[in-house]
Amino acid sequence: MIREANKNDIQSIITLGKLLMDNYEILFDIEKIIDDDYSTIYVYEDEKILGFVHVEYHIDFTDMINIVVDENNRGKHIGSKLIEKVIETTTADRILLEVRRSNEVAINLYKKYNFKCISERINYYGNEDALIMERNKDVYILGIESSCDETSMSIVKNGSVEIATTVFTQMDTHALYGGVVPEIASRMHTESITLVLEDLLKKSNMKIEDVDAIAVTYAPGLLGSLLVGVEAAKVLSLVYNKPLIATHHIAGHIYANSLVKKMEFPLLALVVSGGHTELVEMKGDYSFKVLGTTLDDAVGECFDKVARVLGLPYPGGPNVEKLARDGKHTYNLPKPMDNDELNFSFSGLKSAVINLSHNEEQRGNEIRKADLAKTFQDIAIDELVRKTKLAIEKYGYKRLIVAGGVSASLALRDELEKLCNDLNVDLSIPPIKYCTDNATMIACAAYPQFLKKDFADFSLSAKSQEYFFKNS
Amino acid sequence: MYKLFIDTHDKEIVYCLYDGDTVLDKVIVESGRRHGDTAMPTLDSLLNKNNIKVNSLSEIIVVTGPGSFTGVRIGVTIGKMLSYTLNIPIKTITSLELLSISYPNEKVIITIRDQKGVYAGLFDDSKLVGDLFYMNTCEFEDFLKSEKDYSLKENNEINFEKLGEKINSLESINVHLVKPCYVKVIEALK
Repeated sequence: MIREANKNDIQSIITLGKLLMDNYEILFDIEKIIDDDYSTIYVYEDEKILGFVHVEYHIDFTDMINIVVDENNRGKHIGSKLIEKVIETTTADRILLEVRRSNEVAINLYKKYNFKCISERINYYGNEDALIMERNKDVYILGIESSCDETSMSIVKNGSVEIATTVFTQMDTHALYGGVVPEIASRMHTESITLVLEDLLKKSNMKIEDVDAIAVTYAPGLLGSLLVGVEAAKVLSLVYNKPLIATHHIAGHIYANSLVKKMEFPLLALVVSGGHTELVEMKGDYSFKVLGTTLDDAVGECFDKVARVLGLPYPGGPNVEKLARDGKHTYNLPKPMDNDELNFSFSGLKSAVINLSHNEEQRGNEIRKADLAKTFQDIAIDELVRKTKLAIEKYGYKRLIVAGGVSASLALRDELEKLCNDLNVDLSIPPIKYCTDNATMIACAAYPQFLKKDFADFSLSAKSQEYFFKNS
Repeated sequence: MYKLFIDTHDKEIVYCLYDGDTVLDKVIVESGRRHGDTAMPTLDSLLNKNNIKVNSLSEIIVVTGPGSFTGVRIGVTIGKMLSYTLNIPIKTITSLELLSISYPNEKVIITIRDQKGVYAGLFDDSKLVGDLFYMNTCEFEDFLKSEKDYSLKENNEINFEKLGEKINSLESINVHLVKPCYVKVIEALK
């Protein structure tokens, strides 16, 4: 068991302390540590004292001074339990510690508890460096997403662990009209907003009091729909006195990747959706450099238009893919932008499909829809993959992440997987359910904003359009 | 404990705080079609000005329309979220019924005009007769010619004192069921 040390433990503590340094009892006045108000020692006791941790409580952080476990009792998770005790009892936002660079066992243990190396002190231990590690308090963010036809709320821990998510989709309703009807979408958001919140709280078994911030998609999307989520978020922020975070929808798609594994930088991001087709370099959180973008239509938009030409119902993209599975690449369509630039162009390909279908119709020929879908999809995806490959080869990226609705395309996922295998690049694509619109990704993307204290106030505006990638 | 009245169906954002039936304070702000940016800052400053914490609200009364679709949704969303999170009752009133309370013991036609037509309702002693309806301007003029019993009342303003009493007669409803009253049928649904 773990308990606070008392005076009877002093000798055992000193004995263990000598494992750390020979002059332990000279450097540390154990009696004083046990007595004073701003530091304490927790001991792990199993018949005798097998380990301890010494912590100092400062106003804005907790300092983990020493942690030690008896030599014959290592590997029994005593160290883990002591660290957990410190995490549990700390009220400050962060915990700091120093560790010898060579002590890999300890460093890995700290990493397991989300400590991150933030700096180093050269030759701190005589001729050895110290690493300074920091652990931020667990942060729970409630995300809200209502930019199009799904009302969604989610709670995510530390930008990477999904606690619970509720998505109320209006897709069936809009399918009746062949596409999203903005006014109907706004109406349905208003009607479902409190129900979605109730469902989320039930699923998460949490109270809004327990979350640290409220994040909401403020742009881009359907204005009337965005407004419902934004106003709802403001009310939560007011009632529970939590910071409000304005998150961009595309940031959400990008940070959906942090649900898979921690994003490490630098990386290349391929952003593909109904409004975006971009190759972006990320050197850190919210640091973007656009390497290539579409000169005309976004790839998702192109899929949707082709779906319409082929007479496929809403939503277009997934239906083109479904149809293409039964088709063969038999048509002759132009390859877009057959050059070494990193920009994209899809309008030529789209027009070619429209013209071909039109001409065949006029000639009275039947269009082999599945073949046309397959041919179009092959060329569109080949273009995405080819440009991604060019960027990787040109700049030598070791990591690729994929973001946006089109990343739900199985054909695209397959091709990118092959590419990354060939080039020995680490590939991350969110699971399909996080590729479509959801609030989980919004709560993920809001986490770096939370750490930077990038907060919004009640005058936050919903914006139907706002370009996300300002080069930085 | 205070009641909060919310009305965002028209050009202005209107909040009124009631202490019982009595008006404690109210605010009417022209937002210039930017209700989204203005509605919550206005509420926040009204509460602060009166030194009222949001959790000392005890009841929400929200205008469900008809009027600006987007405007109404902002007020209704705020009202629903306040009611749900604070766990307090919510009552609704239509914009036309709200304006009818100035005419007890009278038969009146209350209207709200938009660019192409008129939202209207017939009220007898401030009670709705039939349904609210929307007509284009020509249809409405014909309607007025044939209507003899009810007198047209236009450009009405909210009577906040009478509203204080009116609120008591309204029934609270399940927050999840609160939705805007649009009256007009939108194009896509025709």
